[in-house]
Amino acid sequence: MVLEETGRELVAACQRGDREAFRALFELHKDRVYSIALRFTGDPADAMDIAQDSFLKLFSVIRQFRGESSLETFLYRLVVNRCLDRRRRERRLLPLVDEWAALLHAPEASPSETLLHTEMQARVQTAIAKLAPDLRMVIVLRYTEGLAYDRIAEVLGCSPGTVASRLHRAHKILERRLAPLARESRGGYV
Amino acid sequence: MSDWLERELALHLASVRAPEGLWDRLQLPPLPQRPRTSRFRWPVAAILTLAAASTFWLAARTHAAEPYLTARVVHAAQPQLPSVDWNLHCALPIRTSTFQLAAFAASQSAPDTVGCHQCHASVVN
Repeated sequence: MVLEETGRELVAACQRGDREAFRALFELHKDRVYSIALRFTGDPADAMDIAQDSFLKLFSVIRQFRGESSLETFLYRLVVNRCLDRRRRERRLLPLVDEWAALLHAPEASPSETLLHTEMQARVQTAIAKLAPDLRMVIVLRYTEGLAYDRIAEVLGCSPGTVASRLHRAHKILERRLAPLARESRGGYV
Repeated sequence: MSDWLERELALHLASVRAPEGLWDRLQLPPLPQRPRTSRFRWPVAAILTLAAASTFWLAARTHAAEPYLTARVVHAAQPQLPSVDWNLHCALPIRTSTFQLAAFAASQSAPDTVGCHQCHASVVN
């Protein structure tokens, strides 16, 4: 409730052109926006472009924001639309290389754990990247943002039943593609 | 769905922190939009190309016709000059003397056998 009030006050301040309010709004939502973009595209550079574009759009249209939906939902829609409209070639391997390098520098993990984690990460992300955009977006909203079915439906403009159906299909596909990985992680040889 | 998949998806799709440079990028002015007139660029280019082609065609046609006209004038003009050897041709260098010769030879007629070396145009009397 307090957060909602804070959000409304921030929006009102932004609508008055308060620069500090813009900064506060950005700080409140930047991780959310960037995470969705990164998990959908798999590329940090594309994710930065999408996040930048989404915030610029938000700041340019915030005066017209009437509050029919929550600001979060409004922002989710901006990001989702930009992700889905993205026509650029997807470069999926670059983030994996970056994460590989970052993990190799992590002191708390042993080299074998690091290697295993990186390989898992790469294979899971590759499997997700091969999903159709509508299935991938549902997966990202569900697991990156932890949104409930009805909230995902509100963001995507479809019914909760459609969301459930897409999630089910995405799970089936991912289970099939990642089955060998699951067997390896259990240490068994089937 | 298996617990393993649920766990892996939650792990590998977890939220991340946005890079520090994101706010700085918002300070940059947005990239300039392409002008609205850009959708007319192909029709405009086509019209300009047609205009240029027409201009060249007309110029070429005029230029091609010029030696013929010049030859007619020269052929008609030169016969009455006593020193003319009837070595007529349509090249541009003789064009400068065309009108003087024409004025001088208004009432003369050329032999029927005389013609231009190059284009074989006959003399107009």
